Amino acid sequence: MRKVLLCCFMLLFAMACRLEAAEGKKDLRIVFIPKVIHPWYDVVQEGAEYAAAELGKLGYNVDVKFDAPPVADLNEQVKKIESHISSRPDGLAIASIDPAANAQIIDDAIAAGINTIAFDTDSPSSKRPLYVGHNQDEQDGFDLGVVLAEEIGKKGKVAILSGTLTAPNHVGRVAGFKKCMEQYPDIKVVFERPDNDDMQRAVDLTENALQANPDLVGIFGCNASNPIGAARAIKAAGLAGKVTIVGMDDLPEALSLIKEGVITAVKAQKQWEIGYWGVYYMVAMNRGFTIPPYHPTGSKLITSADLK
Amino acid sequence: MGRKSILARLFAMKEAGILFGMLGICVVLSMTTSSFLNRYNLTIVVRQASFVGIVALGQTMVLLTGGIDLSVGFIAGLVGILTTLLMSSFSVAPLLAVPIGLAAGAVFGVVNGLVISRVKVNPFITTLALGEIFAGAIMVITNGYPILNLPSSFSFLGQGQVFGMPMPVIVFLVVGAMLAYILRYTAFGRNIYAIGGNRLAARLVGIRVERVISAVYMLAGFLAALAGILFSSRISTGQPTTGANWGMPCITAAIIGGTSLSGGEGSIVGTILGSLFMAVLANGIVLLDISPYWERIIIGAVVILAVVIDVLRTRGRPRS
Repeated sequence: MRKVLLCCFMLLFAMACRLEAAEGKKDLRIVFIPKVIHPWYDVVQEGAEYAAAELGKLGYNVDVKFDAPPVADLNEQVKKIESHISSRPDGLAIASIDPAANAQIIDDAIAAGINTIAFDTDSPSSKRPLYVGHNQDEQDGFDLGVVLAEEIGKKGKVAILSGTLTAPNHVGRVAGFKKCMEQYPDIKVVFERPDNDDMQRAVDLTENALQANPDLVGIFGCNASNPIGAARAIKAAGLAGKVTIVGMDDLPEALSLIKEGVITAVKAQKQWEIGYWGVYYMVAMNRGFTIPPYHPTGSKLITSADLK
Repeated sequence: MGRKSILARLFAMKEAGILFGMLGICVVLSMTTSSFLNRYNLTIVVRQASFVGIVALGQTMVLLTGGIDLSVGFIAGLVGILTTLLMSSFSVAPLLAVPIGLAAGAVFGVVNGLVISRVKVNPFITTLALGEIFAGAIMVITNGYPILNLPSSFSFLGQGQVFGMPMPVIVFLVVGAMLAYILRYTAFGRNIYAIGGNRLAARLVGIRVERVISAVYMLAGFLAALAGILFSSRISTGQPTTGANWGMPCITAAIIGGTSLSGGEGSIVGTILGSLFMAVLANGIVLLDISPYWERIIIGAVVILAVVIDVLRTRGRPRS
């Protein structure tokens, strides 16, 4: 009896979901698969939905869906991608957790006849026809290094929060930053620890770095969450303005910390553009139009001067 | 059992809940989506079930003894790295590298088993700590970078098919059949149930508890290694993060398949069904367009539901 009830319940649930899905039936169905559920991708989604709305006015009905794995795990992401290949969308955009390891699954999608592109993080060894995104990670790390060095007068001890050791974009930015530091003989990198893209961990590490090096003058964060974590710790220690923080991305909290003067500068990726152009290109592929192989969306430096 | 009808006997089986639950979901998905019941989709679902499923088979053996192994995911990852490293940096042939990897997995498992059975450290703590060491070893070896340039013959294991059946699925089912046989028809298998049911009694009747426990963790390590190698072959890379998130799913698959966390109860068939169920569920969530933000809530709810149904079903019945 219980099992019958259970089955009925599931049936109703599934039908309800299906009805909801059917209501929004569109002519072209486009799916984005990010690396993980993360607020960074919400901005990509805004851009994608803006493009879909624009195309709607031109008479193309485009349905955009974002489906991220709950954890940044390749096995979970492969499951998502394979299931989406089964549902045969008109466009599939994949952000590679690992450029090399994702190549196989991207090629699988292309072999299944799905219009597949790479967004956010590229997979150059795959057969993807197009990559939309920003991949100048080393350059970003280098540029932020220059900003930091100028701010601290080209001398003193600095710390690196190195993010996730298996994330190629984090690794690239750290490498770029270190290369930049080599140019300044009076700057010493005294601390380098991974925070695993976890803000609380970044707070803890910054506190540790300050304990070990009370004369620390600068901190470099290689992802969206660690400059914020570092800033919270610096603020709590009453050192705002004395320790210079630079990092990645323009999450709302980072921007308000720049206004407060706790963070000096961030390098913001234009992820809104990634979503916007991704949708246009996938629609173009469906219409048989030519698309470019690479659309660099670039990044820009944001300091308090930009926020007035 | 007496003269009950086949249906009534089917319902009385421990695996009935998960079996009917899965059939239910499959029926619903084939009615509500157009893409569930096609060959490609069914192939990927069973293949997805296989990687974590193979790990879950080893986990089931451990759970049957009343233990738990939190390190299996990291063993899978570490062996994936070691095996691919042998092939790419040392040009070892896949036919040699794979057995070496499997042996390494068994050794890691034995280390778990010895610390637990001889030093008598709690399994939770032992495998948690050793899991950290395995995870750390992955980082030390790879510095976070994937291992590339694998021989193309290696990809057959994870990507190949025999008579239309993906290789990982064949491995999963063959291993499952072997373990089911061992548990049912060998002294070793019955000893596992005996130890999980009542360790003291098992010792009193002369079962060499320490040896059985060490062997069970060795088996879990071996199977984790197998899954790690298959997955590396599936993605044609040695990926440092492989297995990092397999710990919970493999325990989940065993539990919704009817394996008890307190030991002595559970079956291989249940775990196979549990793994398939989880894969169908994940597939259904995508095909039904359910928001990814809800995914973990749904999976958690299903596990609770499965356990509650099991408790209700067995309530008032003497423990077998």
